[in-house]
Amino acid sequence: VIAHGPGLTFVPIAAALFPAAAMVVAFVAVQAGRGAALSQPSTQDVA
Amino acid sequence: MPLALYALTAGAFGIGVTEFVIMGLLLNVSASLGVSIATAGLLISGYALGVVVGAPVLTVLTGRWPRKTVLIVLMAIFTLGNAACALAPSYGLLMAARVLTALAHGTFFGVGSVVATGLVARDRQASAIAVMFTGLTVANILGVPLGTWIGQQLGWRATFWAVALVGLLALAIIAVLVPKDSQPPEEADWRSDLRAILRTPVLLGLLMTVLGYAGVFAVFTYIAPMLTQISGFAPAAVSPILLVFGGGLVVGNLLGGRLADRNLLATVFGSLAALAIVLALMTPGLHGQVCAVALVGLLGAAGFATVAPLQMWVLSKATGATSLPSISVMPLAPGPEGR
Repeated sequence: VIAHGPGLTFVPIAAALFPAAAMVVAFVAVQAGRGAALSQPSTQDVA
Repeated sequence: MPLALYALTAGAFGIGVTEFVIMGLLLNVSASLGVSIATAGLLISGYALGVVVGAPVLTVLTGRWPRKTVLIVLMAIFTLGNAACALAPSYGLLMAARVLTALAHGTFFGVGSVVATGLVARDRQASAIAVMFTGLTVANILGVPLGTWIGQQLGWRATFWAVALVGLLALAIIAVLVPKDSQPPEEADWRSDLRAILRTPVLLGLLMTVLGYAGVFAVFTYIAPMLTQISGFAPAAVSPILLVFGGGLVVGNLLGGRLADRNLLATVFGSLAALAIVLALMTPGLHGQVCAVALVGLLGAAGFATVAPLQMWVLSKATGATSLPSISVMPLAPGPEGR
């Protein structure tokens, strides 16, 4: 399906679901209380 | 900065080109090997699989080797892999050669980062890593469009020969310029790394990374056929449009890094939202040429604005680990220069 023009047209809008799903995962992580520290400046965290 | 750092930059450049140039050559490979564009697109999945398998396995296997030796061996694998791609007589062998090439990818950046930081004073270590990753950025801005152009003019095999040559040069430069280890490397504690990766917050961060990049690469993989079949561009226009993607990538990477330093959580949500919006707009937007070019640039910007925040999310949750978490998120990242 992807190999032809009409199928290609809908690849981007289908692909948009992936980052949208990533936002849901981020929301779940925050709600679980595990992302609380992330709103702080995080350079020190990484170091 | 020591000249040896630029040897690592050369290696990163070669790796960056070989990873991304296939997107611009899908039409050529598809026609040449008699497979559909979707099947040709699996070559990108095959490369990613090689990175996923090769990075942890080679990092553990070469953990006690001198780092200079590891870098030379990795560049040799990379060079042979690209030469094998250029010679591959069939789709199956091209896939195998792509997987072989990818084995070196993750470990090169993991070991390269360690070598880079050892070449400079402590207060310049971040800059040293950034210099190495500049190779990946330059690969995206110039290497990929140039490789695509070479492929369109001389055939896709010529592009892989050119990349193999870059690998050979990088190998030689590393052999000459990178100093031998002053002391034997400590053995990486991969069990502790594995435990760190398996923590729920880290797994959620990695899942976000996978989903974010899945969105970018689901589209970027087919960017050449989209631009020609939907937007109506001539194949020769793909290469300059990839330059626009590269420009967007640099801007997005810088912006994502800066914003993540201010508020990581907001940047994670904001960059992912921007990416989803740009991707959704591409379905109607690709039908106009001006709009298509603008959206390709925005795709590069939004896609790579997620790199620094997602990488920082994972690394901040993977405390106690040494190398595996970073090589797990690095393969597709253009580097920390945006921080």
